Amino acid sequence: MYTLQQFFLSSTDSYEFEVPRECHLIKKMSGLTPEGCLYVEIDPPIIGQNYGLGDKDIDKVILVKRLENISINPINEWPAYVHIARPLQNFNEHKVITSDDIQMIAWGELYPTYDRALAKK
Amino acid sequence: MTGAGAGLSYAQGGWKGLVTFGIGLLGAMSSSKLAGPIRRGLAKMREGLSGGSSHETLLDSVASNQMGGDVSGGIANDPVDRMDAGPAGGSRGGGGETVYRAYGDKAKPLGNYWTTTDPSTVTNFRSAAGLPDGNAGRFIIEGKITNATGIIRGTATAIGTNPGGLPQIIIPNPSTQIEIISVKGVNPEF
Repeated sequence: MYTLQQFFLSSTDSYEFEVPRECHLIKKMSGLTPEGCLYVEIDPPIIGQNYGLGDKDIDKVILVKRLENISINPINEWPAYVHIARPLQNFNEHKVITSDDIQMIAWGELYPTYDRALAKK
Repeated sequence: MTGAGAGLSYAQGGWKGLVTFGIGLLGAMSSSKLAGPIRRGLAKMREGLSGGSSHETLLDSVASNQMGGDVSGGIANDPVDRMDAGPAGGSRGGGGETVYRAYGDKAKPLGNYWTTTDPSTVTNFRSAAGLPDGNAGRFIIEGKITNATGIIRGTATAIGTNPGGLPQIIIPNPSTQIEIISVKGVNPEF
């Protein structure tokens, strides 16, 4: 089961996102594409050491749709194909995100359940 | 092809100097080419017989969502499930199309994301494809689609100053749906 604020992220493309992560929608953001993007909290977090962050892990990411002909705002198909981006700053005060605010780190998919994210189906 | 041979391709540099290697290795991975699609087809038949949604219903659902479903939580009222959607969720057919995939570093060789455009013909492939930083773009696999079941087609999204626009193909099970033709090292990487 999932709530309207919860879904699961994993990737058929990236070793780093092979393991499913639970996502909680923090808020929708404007910018990057006409439909905007999603700011989500992920669990488990991404190991920050790979990104030069020392012991500070990454627990929030930006999700942007990867194909022009799909939507993630709202998500209307499973799986939903996304870019996974790391925020380079705190977005709480921001209304519009630009490319300079994020680092694209992987491609992934959103699934409605943990089991499907694990099976990638 | 040995590691030394692959290294030679780097030394020679540029697309002209690319040397094919690893065909045998990846060819072995596609030896069970038919097993996956058959299993998948049987599963879909079972779903259809047990009272799954008709294609018309699914199409209506897509149309309804596109017209503006509930956006309060970031998920539409009833997201369409591509895995249940049959023809509405992807194309079918024998394939035969040539596809390419750039990979390296954190990106897997046989991921689900491919393109029909030869990367060597694209001026700024990284930007057109929207390759993330985790994908080093150090290698290119070229293959031929042998089974187009469930394939989804689209175009890379334009993001910020990144133009996108490259044709994208999402292939559910590349190891059984693609016949690998070559694997090449790229110098310089994308």
